[in-house]
Amino acid sequence: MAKTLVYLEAKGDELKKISREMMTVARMLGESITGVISTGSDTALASAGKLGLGKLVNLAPEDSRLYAAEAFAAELAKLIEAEAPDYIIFGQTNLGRDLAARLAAATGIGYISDVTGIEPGEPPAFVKPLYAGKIIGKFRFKGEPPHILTIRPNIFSPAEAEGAEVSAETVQPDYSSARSVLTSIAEKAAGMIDLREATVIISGGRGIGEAANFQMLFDFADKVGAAVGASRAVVDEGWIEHAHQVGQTGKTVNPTLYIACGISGAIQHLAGMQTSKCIVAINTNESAPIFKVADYGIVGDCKEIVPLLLEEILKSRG
Amino acid sequence: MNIAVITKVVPDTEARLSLAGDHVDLSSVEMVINPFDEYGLEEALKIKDADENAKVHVLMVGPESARKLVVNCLALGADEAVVIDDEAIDSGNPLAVAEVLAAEIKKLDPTLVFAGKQGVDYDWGLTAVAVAQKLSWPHVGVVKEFTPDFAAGTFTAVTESDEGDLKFNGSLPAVITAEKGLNTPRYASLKGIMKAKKKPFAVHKLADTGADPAAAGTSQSKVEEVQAMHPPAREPGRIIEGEEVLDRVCELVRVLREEAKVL
Repeated sequence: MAKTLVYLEAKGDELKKISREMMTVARMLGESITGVISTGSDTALASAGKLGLGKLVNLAPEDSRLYAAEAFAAELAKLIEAEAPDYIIFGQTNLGRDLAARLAAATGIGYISDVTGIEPGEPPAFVKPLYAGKIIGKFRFKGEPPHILTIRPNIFSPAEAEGAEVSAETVQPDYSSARSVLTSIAEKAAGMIDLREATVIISGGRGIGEAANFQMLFDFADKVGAAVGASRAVVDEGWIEHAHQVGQTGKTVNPTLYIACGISGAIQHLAGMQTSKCIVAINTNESAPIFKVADYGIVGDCKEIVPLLLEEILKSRG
Repeated sequence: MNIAVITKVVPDTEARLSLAGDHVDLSSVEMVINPFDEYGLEEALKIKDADENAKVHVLMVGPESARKLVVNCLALGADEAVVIDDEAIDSGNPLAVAEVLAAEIKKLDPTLVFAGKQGVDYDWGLTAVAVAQKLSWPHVGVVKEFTPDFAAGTFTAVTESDEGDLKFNGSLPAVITAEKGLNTPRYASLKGIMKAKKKPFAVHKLADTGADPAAAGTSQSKVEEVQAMHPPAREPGRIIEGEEVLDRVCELVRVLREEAKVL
């Protein structure tokens, strides 16, 4: 039975949800799982130890040396040599994709990024969106293992802990040869939900009228527990930062509920949000393309509807 | 000081894509410079604005037919362009493309290499990182703020993540991949367009690059595309009707709770 190696991620004392999603994928592909993590938190390390791993390695970060692709890839290459996993699994997160790519480049191991589906078989096929989701591609690895993949967050169900608890072995990465080092993290303001991990997204386009009206969406997001998205048009206008952009040159998202406010629905935007479970469109123009992908639409003015919607949702929650 | 900018051509993000058999048919699709590469080019041009001795070289593995798009990079202010067009290169394999680009980059001995964070086609996000690896250079990916210190031979770069902004410190030379928002790309001026026609533009074959033909060739790929498909179409939805706006909003909240069960 196949062996896997997962590169787990923690944020402070918490294991990220993607870590449990990677465990699900690891169990789909094999039995014995080695976990690698890089955390300074004993709490996060203990949580990782309970996931059901055969072995856990902590690449210990230092105060001002938190991560270095070159050093981490070198440590992983050594582990791969020793453990001989068939699959090496990362999250398609900023650091996950960064390390996966450097590792693939350094070792020449085959790499499929941003996987959203796995079809069992010998060998299994891996599904990944292409052109930001306009096309779905099915890929296979050629040749002998190991193989590297990154999985998209919020797609695979998070695994429950199972099996025996393991304690972590500490490995001190050799930072001396690393010439690009993560030295600090400026933590996000509390309450800001990442678009790619959000359950609910409320997104604004030109139809919200003006930049100041994004405040209405932030109010909604704050009270409902949602993240704020935006169309390319309003990002290019400078109404809101690019970090909020949904679509082909922004983020691809898949929340449970996506509320598009005043977004007409250009194809590059639709590509980035059409896998949302439920799409609501609010637009004054009843022939806007967004209504073709929406499960529910309201023809009308966002400025009027969004505050009412917020009120009614809060009422319905009691 | 030389600065290299890696680019590629991709389908226009506004384009609809169709299939021919099991794969995407790009034969009638309008191609553009990969949007993220435009931010890489702009970052290089900003350095040239501040240092008249800096030379910006645009490198692309791709079809010579995309010449017009590359000439536009020259019109924006780049000094030279090299397009490597050879069917012997496995252009779908990022490691093969990186082998070719790294060979060309070595000849330039640049201080910096810029690229987009990924191609908006297959989104591998691998080519530029593999160039860094082949050159034995550091890289920082998905950069939204970049500050080089050429005198000290160092840089700082900021990337965004779900944890917050990540700050990297590194040494030059380095490969930097650009996120949208790194800068605001300029438009070509009429003067720039006129000058671009006279700037050096070379078309190379694999043999001209000095790359290892085996590493650049088709036999090396460890991933195969089995099939490309359209995503499943969404079921048609419905417009919520109602006399007053409040009626429609209340009905929407009801269906979101009771039918879609998403609230």
